[in-house]
Amino acid sequence: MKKTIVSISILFISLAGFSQKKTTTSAILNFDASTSIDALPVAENKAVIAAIDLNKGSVSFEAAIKNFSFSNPIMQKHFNEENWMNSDKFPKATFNGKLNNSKNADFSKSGKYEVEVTGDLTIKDITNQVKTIATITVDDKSTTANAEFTISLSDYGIKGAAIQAGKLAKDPKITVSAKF
Amino acid sequence: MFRHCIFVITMKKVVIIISSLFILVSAVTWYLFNIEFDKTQNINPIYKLSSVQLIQEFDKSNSISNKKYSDKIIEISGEANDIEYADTSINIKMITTETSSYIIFSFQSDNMAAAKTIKKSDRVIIKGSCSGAIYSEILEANAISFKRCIIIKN
Repeated sequence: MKKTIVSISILFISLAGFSQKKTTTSAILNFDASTSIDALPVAENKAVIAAIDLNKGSVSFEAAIKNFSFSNPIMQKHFNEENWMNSDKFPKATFNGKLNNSKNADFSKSGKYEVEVTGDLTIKDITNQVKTIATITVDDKSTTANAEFTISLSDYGIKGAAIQAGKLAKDPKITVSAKF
Repeated sequence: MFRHCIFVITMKKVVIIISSLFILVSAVTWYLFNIEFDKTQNINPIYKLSSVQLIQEFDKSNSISNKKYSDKIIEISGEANDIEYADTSINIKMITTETSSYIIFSFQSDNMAAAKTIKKSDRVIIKGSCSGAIYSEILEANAISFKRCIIIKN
C-alpha cells in the first residue's frame, strides 16, 4: 500500500514537473512605426497576457488592441480606426509559437539562452508566420523572455495614405518582454 | 506706372495670403503633433462602480460591455488582489475568484509613485481610461484593462 502511494505521488510530481506553464498578465509589447518624418506612431501595451512552457517549448501572447497607449491622442484614435487596426471588430492580437531549438538549452540551470522562435501572429483575423530569436533568461526567482521582430503592415491588410507618405513605417518593429 | 502699382499690390496680397496660409498650416501641424491626453485627474468619471460589478457585467456580455465602457473614464473601487511589475512600472489587479476574470490597471507616469504605495489586499479607488475586455484563451477568463490610471483613494 505504501509503495502504491509513493508511486502515485512520484507520478503526480513528475507530471507537475513536466508541464511548467508559466503565465503573466503584465508582459510589455511595444509597437514602433516611427519614421524620419513622424516620430509619433509609437505605442506600448503593459498589460499583455503571455505564457511560456519551457518543457513543451511553447510560447504565446494575447494583446488587447485598445490598450496600446500612444503619447498623442489623435494617433491613438487613428490606430484603432477601421482602416488601421479596427479594434472594435478585432479586439486582440495573438501569437502562438514554439521554441525550435529548446533542446539545446538547459532551462533547469540559471543562465541566458538564445532560442529561435517561430509562430503564428494573428492581427485582424489574418495570420502570418513570424520567425525571430528570443532571449530567455532563467534565474532562481523568475524566467524572462525578450524578443524583437518586424511585421509588414500590408500582410495584415493595413494600408493608407500615411504609409505612402512615409509618415508610418511599412514594417514596424515589435518588441515583446515578459517576466514570468 | 498704373499697371506696375496694380502688380505690386497684387504681389503683396499674394505674399500675405501665402504667408498666412503657411503660418496657419504650421500652427495646426504643431498643435496636432503636440496635443496630449487630458490628465485623468481633471476628467469626471462617466461611471463609478465596484470591481465586482464591472467584472460581472463583462462576464455577462463582453460585446455589450465593451460598447458601454470602452474609451470612457471610469472610477473603480475594490480590493487590490495582485500587484505586478511591468518593467519599472506596476499594474494593479482586481480579480474575481468565481470566473478568474480580472481588471488590470496601468498608471500614468506622474501617478506611479502613488500606485507603488498600494499593497496587496488594500481597498482602493482607481480612475482611468477603460480599454474594454478581451477573452483570454490562455487564462480562459475575461481580461479588462485600464490605462492612464490614477489612485483616487487608498
